[in-house]
Amino acid sequence: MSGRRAVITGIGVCAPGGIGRKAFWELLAAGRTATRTITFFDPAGFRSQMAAECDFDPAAEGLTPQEIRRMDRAAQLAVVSAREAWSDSGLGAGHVPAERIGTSIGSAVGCTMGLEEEYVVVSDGGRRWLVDSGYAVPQLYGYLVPSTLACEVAWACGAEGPAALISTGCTSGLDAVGHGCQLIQEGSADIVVAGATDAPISPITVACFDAIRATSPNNGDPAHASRPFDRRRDGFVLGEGAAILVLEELTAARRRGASVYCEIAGFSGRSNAFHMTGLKPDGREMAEAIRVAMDQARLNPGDVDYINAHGSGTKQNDRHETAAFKRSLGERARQVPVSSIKSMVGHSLGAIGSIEVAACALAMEHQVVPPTANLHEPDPECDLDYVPVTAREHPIDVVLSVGSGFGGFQTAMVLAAPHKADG
Amino acid sequence: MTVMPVFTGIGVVAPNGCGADAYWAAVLEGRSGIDRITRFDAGGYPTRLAGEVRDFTAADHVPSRLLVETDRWTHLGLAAAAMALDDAAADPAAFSEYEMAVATASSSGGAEFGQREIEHLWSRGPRHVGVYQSIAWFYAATTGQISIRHGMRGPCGVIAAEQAGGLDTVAQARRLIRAGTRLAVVGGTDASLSPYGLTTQLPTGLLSTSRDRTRAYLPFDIEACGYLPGEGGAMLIVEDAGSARSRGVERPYGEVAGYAATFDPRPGSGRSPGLRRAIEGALADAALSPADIDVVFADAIAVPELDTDESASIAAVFGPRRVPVTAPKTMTGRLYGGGSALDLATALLMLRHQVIPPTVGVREVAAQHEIDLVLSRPRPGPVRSALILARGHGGFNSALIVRAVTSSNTTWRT
Amino acid sequence: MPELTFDHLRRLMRESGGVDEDVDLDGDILDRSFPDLGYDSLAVLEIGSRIEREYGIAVPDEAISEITTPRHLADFVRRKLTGAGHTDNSITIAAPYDLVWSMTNDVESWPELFSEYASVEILDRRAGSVRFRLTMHPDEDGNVWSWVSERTPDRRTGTVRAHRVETGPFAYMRIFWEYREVADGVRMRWVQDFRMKPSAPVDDYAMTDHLNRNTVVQMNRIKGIIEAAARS
Repeated sequence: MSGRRAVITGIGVCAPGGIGRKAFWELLAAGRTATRTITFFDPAGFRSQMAAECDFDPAAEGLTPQEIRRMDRAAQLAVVSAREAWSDSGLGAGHVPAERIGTSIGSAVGCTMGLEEEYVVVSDGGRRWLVDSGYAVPQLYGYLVPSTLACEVAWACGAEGPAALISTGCTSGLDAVGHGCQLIQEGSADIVVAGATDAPISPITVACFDAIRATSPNNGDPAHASRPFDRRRDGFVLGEGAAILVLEELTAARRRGASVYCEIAGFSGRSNAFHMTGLKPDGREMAEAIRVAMDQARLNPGDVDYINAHGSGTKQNDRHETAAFKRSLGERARQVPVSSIKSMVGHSLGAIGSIEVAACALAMEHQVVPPTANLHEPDPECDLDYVPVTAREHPIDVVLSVGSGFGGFQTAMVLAAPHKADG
Repeated sequence: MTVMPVFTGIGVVAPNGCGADAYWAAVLEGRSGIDRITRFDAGGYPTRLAGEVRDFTAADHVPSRLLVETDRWTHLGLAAAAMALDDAAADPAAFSEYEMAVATASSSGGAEFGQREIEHLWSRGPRHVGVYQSIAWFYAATTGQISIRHGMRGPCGVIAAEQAGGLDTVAQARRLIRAGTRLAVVGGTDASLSPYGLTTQLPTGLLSTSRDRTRAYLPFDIEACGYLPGEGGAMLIVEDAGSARSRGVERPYGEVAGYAATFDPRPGSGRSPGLRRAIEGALADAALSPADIDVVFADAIAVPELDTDESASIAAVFGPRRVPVTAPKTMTGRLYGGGSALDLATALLMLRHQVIPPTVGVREVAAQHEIDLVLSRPRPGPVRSALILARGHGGFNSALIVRAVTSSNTTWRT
Repeated sequence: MPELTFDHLRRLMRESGGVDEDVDLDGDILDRSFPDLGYDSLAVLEIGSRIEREYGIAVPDEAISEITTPRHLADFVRRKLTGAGHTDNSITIAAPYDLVWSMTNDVESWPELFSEYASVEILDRRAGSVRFRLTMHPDEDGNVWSWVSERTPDRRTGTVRAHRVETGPFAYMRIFWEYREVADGVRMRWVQDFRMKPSAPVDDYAMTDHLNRNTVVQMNRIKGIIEAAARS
């Protein structure tokens, strides 16, 4: 390889339970859950009526009236996160030429919320198949194409290098960060603003997961409905949010004295080529992705200190990845703490992967493993140490974070502490 | 380690022809696929012309089980991918599962499918949303279905950069091949010609509202009046040259010689757009000089000021009227997620057949465009290399250079 | 009341999941599993949700996971619509009609003919009907089920009607048997219509499932015994 290595030097997060990385970490460390009955629309008539919503006021977060009008909620969450990350990185304007700053943003469902809201208007409440284009708002095409989310982030950070929107369903967030890391390693950029955003809490997304019975119907107890690895788990709880990271080439970051959260030491994706939504219980392809990512990082299973699981809380996912951890890490899988923050912040589809990378970087900073909330009755088929309910102090130098998504995508990322990055 | 990614298979689903041969024949004849929109009654919309893929019966290409669970955009993608594999004579069973990858561009996802399901939701209620909405609408559907259908378990991806995405998938394939992937399906398709899909595009003000199918989409012309949308696209097979040769590929279409992508400055910043940097970056990446490029496939959006940005970028790098420029997409419309992939397929067919395809409909290039536009008739070669340009809505610029593979290329010599 | 016919079910299957090239939906598919017919979990969910919409019934998660064949699905819908259980099974026995009729209507011999009955006690015979108590072998949990039935054969039409007099866990149980001469023997058909009491340990759905499984076992056993008798 070229020897160029990518590190995280800035983090910005908008997550359910609190805006900003500080509020986000406090929620995780306290093991608090942000899942609740949907307030964005009346969920009566839907099978699953819960979600992890962000209490997000775009004006209070500094967006201008024009930005608020122009941007879908997913873009607003991304831009606010990007600005926080940029500021956290300590990079000033003009520090790096705009041409050397890349953008890599993930999103599973793009501007679904804006698309649906505007559809309701142009179709007059679903009454017209031949919708009335006279009612189309100026930004409507920007909602159709998800790449708009990358445009908004690039504009917010003054990035003029390579830009892309990565959309691999629920692994989009990890894949976008991984793509950004590759841009730095191959020399296409020196800085990459990378992360993901999704704001899917709208009737069409909720109905679509209702139809395949993937979300939890446990409407009576929304705060405890997301129960990864618990015997009584009955589906995921939809979430929203964004996390944007500033990725930087290691030596340049050191040269300017940037504080480094961690290195992205390994990244790999595999597909199961099995089923769009189904997972084979053996976790074979995810295990292969983990193996390759560990190889890239030149680390052994014994080096892994914490596994940030996909842990969506569906019956088949949690079994699938438990098998993948055992298959790829052997005995180490039983020794290392594993947890799912989706128990607290829900499953924000494409965004969650980058939110989880942010959680991993913060876990490393604080040397604390965030817990799996709501895990009270272990499932005999999920027999690892999932750090139930309470966060745990733990030395963390190396983290494995994984994702699994519709379409068969399986992604693994290895994050290593700065001193590990020094080799 | 030097790796040379080469193109070994092409699958085309275009408004003026399905299958690479039919499409190429249409291109040389200057036969356009632009016509009245028939997929719905477009009589009430300002734009009524488009490039529809009509010579395509999905059931002939896609198993009925997949037909019901996917959008037209994915039908087109599955068909093109199968054609490309067939063209490459690549049998997935002969590859190891993790050595094959899929990277497609997506622009609007399952637009028509999505509109139908949102309509069900809002007119009849949540219980009327079908099961397949969850896997048909999202942007990753086509990649996922291709991966499943052909048992490709390597690193699979989806890039959205509107019209530029198709070229970006080639860059992704090159990255993967450098890391050990042997074969990648790349490219993209799009099918956003539903009432809502079209309606979303109208407010940009970039679409042509002309009713004359021969004069509606005229990039660089003095009468340029916006572009027409189309549907379809292309999938291509990219392989490591050594691997392709070892499995008996005798004549690849061409190699990936260089690539670069940039993003335009924030609107209103006063800084110049990024297309020129992309061209220069691709040349540098290919270690070629402007004189080494035999033809440029333009983005050709047919909006005067954007055309001027493009012609100025080309002229600045190559010199005024120093390189032939063409826009065969005048026969198909802009295909968004499928657009630059189809341009790439066209460029590779050109390298194979040694004829530069025409720009149909343009009569008089506006004076400000100092480019040598290949007009209504194909221009004979020789052509050894092509630069393909693509701009994605919002500021994406991608430039890809492909080059013929000849016996003088050291990596291909046996 | 609308009904889910097999033809309609075939149409729903076609629309919800397409048809695999090597599957003939108009053929003998009712007892083949959905995956075997090319319908994955999503296709079954889609069929289920179309049924929910068309018939206004709920198809709960547990039911979806238990419905493995088109026949299960049709039974489920019928039961939901009528609020009752229903089974309909047939077998062809290669033996003379009279022998089949007499052996299967000889209630006293049922403990030998069926594997599930420990004993039978004839309580009454009048006007062409027989009333009797059947007692089963103890089940896995050691329960001994016993009940009283009344049975009225009609040799002229080749049919039998029966019902439970002491119904036990059933709210009611009505039985209809039919014998038809066919090319390779006698086609014997058993139809059961029933509803479980709310207090019963199993619901209509589970009982239908149990009866469908057990009927196949008993019919095959009876076929073997009668055909052996015909040969000797």
